[in-house]
Amino acid sequence: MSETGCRHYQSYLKEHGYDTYRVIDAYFSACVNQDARLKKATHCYCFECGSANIQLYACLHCIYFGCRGAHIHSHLRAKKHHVALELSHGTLYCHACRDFIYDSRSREYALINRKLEAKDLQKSLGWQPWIPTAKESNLLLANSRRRLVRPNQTIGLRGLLNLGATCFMNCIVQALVHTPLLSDYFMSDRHDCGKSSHKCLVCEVSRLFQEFYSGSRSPLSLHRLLHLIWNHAKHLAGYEQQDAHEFFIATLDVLHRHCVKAKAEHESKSNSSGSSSGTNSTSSSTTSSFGQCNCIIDQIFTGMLQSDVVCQACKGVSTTFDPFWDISLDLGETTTHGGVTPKTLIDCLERYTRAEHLGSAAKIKCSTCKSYQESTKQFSLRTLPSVVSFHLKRFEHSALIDRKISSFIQFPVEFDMTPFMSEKKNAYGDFRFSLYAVVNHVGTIDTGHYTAYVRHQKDTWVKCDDHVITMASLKQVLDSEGYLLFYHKNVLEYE
Amino acid sequence: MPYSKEIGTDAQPKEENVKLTHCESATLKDILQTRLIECGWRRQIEQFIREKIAERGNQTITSEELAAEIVPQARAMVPEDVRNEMMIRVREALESSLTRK
Repeated sequence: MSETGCRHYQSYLKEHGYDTYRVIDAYFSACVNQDARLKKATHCYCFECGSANIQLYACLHCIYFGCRGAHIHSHLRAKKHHVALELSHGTLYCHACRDFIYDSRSREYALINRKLEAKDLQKSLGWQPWIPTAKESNLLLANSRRRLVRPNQTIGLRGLLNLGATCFMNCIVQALVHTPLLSDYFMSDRHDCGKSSHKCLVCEVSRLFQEFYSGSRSPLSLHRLLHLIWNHAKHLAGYEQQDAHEFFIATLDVLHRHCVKAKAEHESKSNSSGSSSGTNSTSSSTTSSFGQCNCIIDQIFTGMLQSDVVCQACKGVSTTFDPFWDISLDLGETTTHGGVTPKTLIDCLERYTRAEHLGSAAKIKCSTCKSYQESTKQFSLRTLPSVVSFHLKRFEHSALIDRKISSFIQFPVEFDMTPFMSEKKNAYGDFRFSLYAVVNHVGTIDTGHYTAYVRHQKDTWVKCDDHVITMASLKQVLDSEGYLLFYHKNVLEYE
Repeated sequence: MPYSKEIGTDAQPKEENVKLTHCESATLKDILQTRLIECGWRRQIEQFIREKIAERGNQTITSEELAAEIVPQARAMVPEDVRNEMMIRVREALESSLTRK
């Protein structure tokens, strides 16, 4: 159904055609080249008041610019001109109808101009509203059932059966399914394997998402997932209770490898078929400067840790960068620096990023002064991933004893990670994070049980205890012990 | 500025002819837009507009009628902290342009 504006616009077009519109749009609404920018800067001011601050309208019948409201209206009324172009967004305004009008062909011309503008400024095209094509309209009409997500709906929640000490897997899966970025990726079908999808873990996870959002409420059994992980991470195979954190890292690793493999196959297929990028294969599987690839796992979970070693003699700093998927935090008594035992997540992070004296037993060879000197080592966060996961090291394995540290560590729902960044004065950085999943371990180091709290919608928390899903309050979540904490970035930015 | 109808804003500037440069006002508008999106105001307004249109049913509504219904409430829905931040920023910009003259 193509739009044709109003009859006033149609009669205007019969008289003037599209040329005036195209020119005005190209020069004053979306400046297509430098000359246009110059003309706009010099001439584009309200003829009444001289300001360019409020929305400007350009009359399409004659040369006139006017502010929204009184100025343009008085001109249009006085001259009996009907159509004007609003310059901030490029929409047509008809004075006779007192309303904005939409015309398909004009919209096409406007899009051409905006593409030219983007190309000239070497930027990407701005947001365009979605207009359904004829095919899409027909599809929508043919399938009229719509799914509306309301606050109390349980869609996206399912219990997971315990296959015999697999609660560690269940919790991690619950946390991953509730990771917003990951669920967006899988729900928009972005993974394309093409090959036998029974060996690919990413395909299996994709199927998992489909199951979770199918609307069914019966618990799932993750035997296929488990089997695939066992095949690829042999150290986890077996029927004993495994560590949830180890499972998390192993899962990310296998997903990452399979994503890379799928991308490489996709690229070799598209290269061999001779056609050049119809898909956005701009992100190749080769590593970028920091050794980070562009698969979805790295985009979401990988951050960069900066480690500065300062030589105490010459104060020379040697910096190294290491990618990380999670941050493991010590909980034990602090031995150096007279610090107190950490009681909150912030304390743990402060300890993690504190300058540590390496002691005389661990002298490092300094490249500046070329001798073995004592030094301090300090960690800081160079880049933060979109999802930061914290691992509280509650399980202590030492020569003497294996024990679990059950002390309560308070963690916040929202917090700002700016103090722990390497570059604190980064003007564009917004490092606020929100908690969205907590994995808890109940019991001792030998026998125990994992449960998870996940954030279902913005303010609803749900407790996932294998196949039992119950509502939980934020207070319950914050009072829980906390073993793995997952935080999601609030404001996502471009790189 | 004579456009706002709310109580508690500076109605008349003490110094006439203090104007912001185009660059300053563009920056301020940009910051305001970002803040309003961040705090969810924009989404609230979009929701509000949908409701208003749904109320009308099949009757078409012009942009001016819609604006008349929405603008007063939208202005009131801006959160306090965004309002305060913008006040401070605009004041600073005006003062800096004053000292520049």
